[in-house]
Amino acid sequence: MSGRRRAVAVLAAAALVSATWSGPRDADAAWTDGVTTSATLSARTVPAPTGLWCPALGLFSASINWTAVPGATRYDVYVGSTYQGSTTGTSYGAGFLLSNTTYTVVTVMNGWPSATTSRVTVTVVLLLVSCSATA
Amino acid sequence: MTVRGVPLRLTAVLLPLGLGAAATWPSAVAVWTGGVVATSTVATGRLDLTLDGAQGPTTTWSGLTVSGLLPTDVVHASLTVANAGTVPLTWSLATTVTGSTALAAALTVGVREVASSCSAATWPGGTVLAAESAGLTSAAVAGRPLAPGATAVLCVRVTLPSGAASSLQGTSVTPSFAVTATS
Repeated sequence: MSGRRRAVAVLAAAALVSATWSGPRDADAAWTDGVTTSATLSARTVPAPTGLWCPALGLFSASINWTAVPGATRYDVYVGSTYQGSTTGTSYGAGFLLSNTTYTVVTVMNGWPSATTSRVTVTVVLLLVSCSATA
Repeated sequence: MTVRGVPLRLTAVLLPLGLGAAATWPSAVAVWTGGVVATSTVATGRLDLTLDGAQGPTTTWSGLTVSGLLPTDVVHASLTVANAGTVPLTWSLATTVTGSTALAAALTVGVREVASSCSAATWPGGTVLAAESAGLTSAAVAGRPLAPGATAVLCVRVTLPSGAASSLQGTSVTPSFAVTATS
């Protein structure tokens, strides 16, 4: 290579280096550390009352009893989907029975009703009332 | 012809030799030096965050693990964030959930920094870090400084509000509270 060409090559190399090298930079270092803690929160499933039975039977009436559910706020009583009444105790008086009637008792806790229900069928036969629990 | 008895030709040879010898006679140069040696100790710092004394990376928050939630139920649980390292840090909190997204959205959560731990029944007054809001993921705190050796006691309050949907019965959610520290 001639001396002139060698000089041109050196200058070109120097220009390339200066164009790509931005010089030293400040380095910012930040450390990190972390901990993750977990918990589990579960909502209750409200249980239905159990042990429905009729301790007292009369003419056209029956008393329906059941076993208390711990923590229950109240019990709602239905005939079919028709609301009949509520009680905070564990018995309900079914009166004015003229035909077969199925009563459903629902546990209620803080506004949440039990999804499954306990039912008792009160049957009136010739002025006599009989009672049987159904699932 | 002679110069003081030495033939001129020899003198012409000897004279330049003498001058050349005088011209190359080495001289003595003295250089003084001095120096100071300084010593120092270089040590690295240590960034170390703990939750309730645990190093992590993951732990279980048993104080906030609750079953049988009903509407109006309230849970309080404390969590101690500590700088167990040797450098100041800045910590932040972010919450993610797995499980029932409906339950996660229905629950309300708030975070306070308190003087000491909170009990299940009380939510002590303190600095509100995250105001009570619906949705567990709303529990977020940013940019809290903590000096080496210092602690921050957090009290978290979780509530299932009155009127929460009955369809939430039997559902569960697992919130993960990630505390991150930077130097």
